[in-house]
Amino acid sequence: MNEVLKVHELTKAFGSTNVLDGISFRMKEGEVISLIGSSGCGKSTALRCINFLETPTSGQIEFMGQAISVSCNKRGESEIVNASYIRAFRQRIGMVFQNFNLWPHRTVLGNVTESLVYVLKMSRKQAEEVALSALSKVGMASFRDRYPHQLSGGQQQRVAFARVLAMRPKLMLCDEPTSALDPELVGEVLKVIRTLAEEGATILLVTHEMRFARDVSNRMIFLQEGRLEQDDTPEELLRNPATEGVKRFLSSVMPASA
Amino acid sequence: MLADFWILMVERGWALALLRGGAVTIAIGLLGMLLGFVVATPLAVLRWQKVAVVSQLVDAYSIVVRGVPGLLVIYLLFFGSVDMVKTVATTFGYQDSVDNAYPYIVGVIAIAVISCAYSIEVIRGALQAVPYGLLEAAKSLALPTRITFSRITFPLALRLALGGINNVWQMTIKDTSLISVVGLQELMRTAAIAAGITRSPFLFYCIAAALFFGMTAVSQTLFSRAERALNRGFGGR
Repeated sequence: MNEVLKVHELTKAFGSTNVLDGISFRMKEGEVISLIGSSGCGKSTALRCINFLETPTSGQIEFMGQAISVSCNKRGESEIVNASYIRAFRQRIGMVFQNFNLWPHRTVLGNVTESLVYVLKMSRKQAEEVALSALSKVGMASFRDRYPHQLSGGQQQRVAFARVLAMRPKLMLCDEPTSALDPELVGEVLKVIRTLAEEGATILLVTHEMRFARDVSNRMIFLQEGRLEQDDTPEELLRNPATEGVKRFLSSVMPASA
Repeated sequence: MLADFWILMVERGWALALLRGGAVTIAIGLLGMLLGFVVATPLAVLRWQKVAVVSQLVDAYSIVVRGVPGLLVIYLLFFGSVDMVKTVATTFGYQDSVDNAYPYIVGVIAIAVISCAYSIEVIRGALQAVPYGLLEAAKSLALPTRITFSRITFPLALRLALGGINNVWQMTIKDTSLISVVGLQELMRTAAIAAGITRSPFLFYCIAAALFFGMTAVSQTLFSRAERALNRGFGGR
């Protein structure tokens, strides 16, 4: 299968703290990978470096055969090679945020059509058709004229998924998509992710829902203090934790793990 | 009593004079506010983006103008420039038109300079208050920067700024009364002249107060309406 994403020696430092300390991994088309680890381990930063919402300190991101590399010059500033690819990356990489980040002054439909009209240059009519089909995929088509504040958190997150899906992304980054939700609303969002995974979407997921991650992922990557400690199938990672860190993390999040 | 009032207002023509003064007040207030806002918006954006040097200059301007009385700004602008403009205009033979139009131009500019300084702070504050995540969402969808600003950042900031803009407007319309010092016959100046000539200061200042109040009352209604329109999607009250 085609390789969609190659992350090579990704480093990110905030001041003198290394949040990411040279992590590397690859993703094939149709793969679902969960990034796990305790909070502050750099999972979200890694995700945000891939579409350059965060500028890496150094390293290389290759997406669909195009590579952007970042190196640190003598003055400690990041120098980006091929920065012009960033927009192309973002166009094909969808991101779902913990806090949904729907635009409050736009209706559900307006939230989804915006990038179709202004990035993919669709006509208003065509954009609405595409948006509606994305919305019906997450069961939100009948809410098209509502405003975000009129929806529950789970519904808002489903709209956020539709906004990304409508762009037909080659890769989806999900940054703790259920962490801001009330417990009873988590299920509906996980269902959306599961459906997408089953349909062959390529998803990189940061999550604390360990059981869900185990069920839905092809691989799990464990990060600790910015280092990649283990990259394995869920079965392998759960059965044979490679390091003390993985073992400790697993026993704390899945006390009676099966 | 009523007959006296009728004679004063209609036969002596003070009603018309007051209305004309009111019109000048509104025109100068509106133009000054508008000009100030149009200039303040890009300056506030530069401030918000923390563009080096420019940002500090904008800050300095805003702090200085807000820190001195409006009357002083008007004096400085008018008497600081009037001689130079006169010399230039006389050289080119436009003496008369300058005498007539100059107070208006300086009036509008002075009001703009003052309202702009306040508007910058209001708009910058509003821009900063737009949740960053909403802009990151736009970024992550590859929306062009210009589109993000015009369709997401600005409308959201405008909604947050409206209360403050309303305040600046109220202040601006009242500041127009200061323009009378450069000889412009706006509402306040007209009322003062009428008060002097007719020896009925109480009557004319009451009328002036009522007219000022009328203007702010109308603009208040318009602002409430705009607020309701912009509050779409925020659980409007």
